Amino acid sequence: MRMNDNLAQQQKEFLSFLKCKLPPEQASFRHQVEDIGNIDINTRLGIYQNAYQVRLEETIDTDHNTLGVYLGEELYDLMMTEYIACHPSHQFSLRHFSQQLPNFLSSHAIFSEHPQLSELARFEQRLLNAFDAADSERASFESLKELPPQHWPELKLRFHPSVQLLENHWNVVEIYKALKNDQTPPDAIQDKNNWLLWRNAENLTEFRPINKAAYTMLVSFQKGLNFAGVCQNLLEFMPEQEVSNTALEILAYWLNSGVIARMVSQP
Amino acid sequence: MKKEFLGFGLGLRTDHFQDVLQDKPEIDWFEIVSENFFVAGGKPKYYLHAIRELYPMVMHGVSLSIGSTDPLNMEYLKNLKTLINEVQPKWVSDHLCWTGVDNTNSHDLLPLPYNEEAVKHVVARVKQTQDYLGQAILLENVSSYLTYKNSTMTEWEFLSQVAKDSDCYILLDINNIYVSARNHGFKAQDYLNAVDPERVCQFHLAGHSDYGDYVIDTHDNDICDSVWALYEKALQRFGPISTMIERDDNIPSLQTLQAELTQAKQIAEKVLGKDTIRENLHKEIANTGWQCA
Repeated sequence: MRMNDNLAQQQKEFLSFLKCKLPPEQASFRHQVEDIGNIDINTRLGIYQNAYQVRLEETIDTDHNTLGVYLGEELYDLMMTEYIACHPSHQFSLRHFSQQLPNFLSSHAIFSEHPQLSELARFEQRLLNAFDAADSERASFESLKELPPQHWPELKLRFHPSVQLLENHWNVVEIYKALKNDQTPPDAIQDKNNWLLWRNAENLTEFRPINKAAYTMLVSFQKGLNFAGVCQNLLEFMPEQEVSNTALEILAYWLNSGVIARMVSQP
Repeated sequence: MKKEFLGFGLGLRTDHFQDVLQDKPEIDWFEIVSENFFVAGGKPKYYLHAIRELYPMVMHGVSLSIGSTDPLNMEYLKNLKTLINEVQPKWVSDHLCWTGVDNTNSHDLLPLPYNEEAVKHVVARVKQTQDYLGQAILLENVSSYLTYKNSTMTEWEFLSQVAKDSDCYILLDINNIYVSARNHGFKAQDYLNAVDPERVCQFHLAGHSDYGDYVIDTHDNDICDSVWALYEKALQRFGPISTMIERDDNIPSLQTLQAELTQAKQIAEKVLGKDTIRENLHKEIANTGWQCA
């Protein structure tokens, strides 16, 4: 055997024991553990197994506390147990441990029957993403006013790194808000709705519903279109005389809310 | 890195960010958990930088997994190095343990067997880590709940050998020595007596949960009398060593932790004398004045 083979095998068996939740009596490496009398080997192994489970459960609970309240204790415990079993951590930071939870919920035999669960988990993750996304400068409304008229058609936007667009098919934000306020959540209903999430200049995470015009503008700017191209897309569902005012109002709101990092304009 | 006596510090926790920034409490230095700041921006980074402007810091990691048989995680080390450049800490520490294998992380501090094979394995990795970071690191003794039959040396012999052969420093966790001594039936004083004072740069103090037959290192309680007593003995052997209270759960107010830190300082003054504390204190800290009252 090469050097470290023993160590590697020992570690594989130890980790396998933690992950598989085998009873300590069945741990393949228990014969390698010293029995020194004052504490039995099952207790020693059980301490590690319990710590593994509890730490990962606490991580899920930190990231998805509202989902936990919505599910209730029994289903939440089931979800955590099965998620931990199916998705061991491959990251060095626990920050990303829960990232597969929306997909897990949408493909799980029981939880997938309630599609709002996956969407609620996804919403909580987007809030987290906005919370610790990269910092950047923010453009002001004043700088828009200073923009020469001939530069407007070429205007492009760079959004703050925390900006995210969330497309829901269920009323999960209403459910989230009710639970956060310790109120009974509304019944889950199918309801196509879009949300803008970002972190404002005070480092507070915000989420606002986004209408069709703002959605179209955001998606168009994110694709790299300039202001002229964005207005062209608005014309597809909006009377021509409303386009410029609508676009300006949305731009002003974004600038005042810290959504835009930079404005780029080269005629 | 340079071995310095920083005085008496606390772990920087989210619960206290605002209080620290607003009240600028009389705390000599803070220890951060490195992985908590492996994020791009937002509030964590804002508070980190603002508080760093006010206090010296050290960085303490939990995911280096120095004892793992997986290759060293270079992405992790890259993140660590980036944070080191941002924070400019006095030093960087992690644990003498492994946390995962086969690219799967347990996020727990798992024990190694104490034998020559493990010493050689860990020493090579510490050297690689120190070369990459361009500085010596500190390794902390972990609390443990089992030992392996293929151990051929004591934990303190293992720790000392790794530190000597890799030329790294030691973060001696007094609570962990107490916890492991209870769980494995060794004498904590034997542990202290065997560690080279030249290698020890930092002490951790913490609370634990006592279940009678065994003790679990939970970091969610006040420091108990037995750990205070062991701290006193550690000071007698190692002299003035930067001391920090590590509280990770059931986190009390900053004032409560400051009171506990004052207790640590009073014990150090009793054991070593106020003059020794004052004379050895790192200049940057001594200039803030409060320690010399």
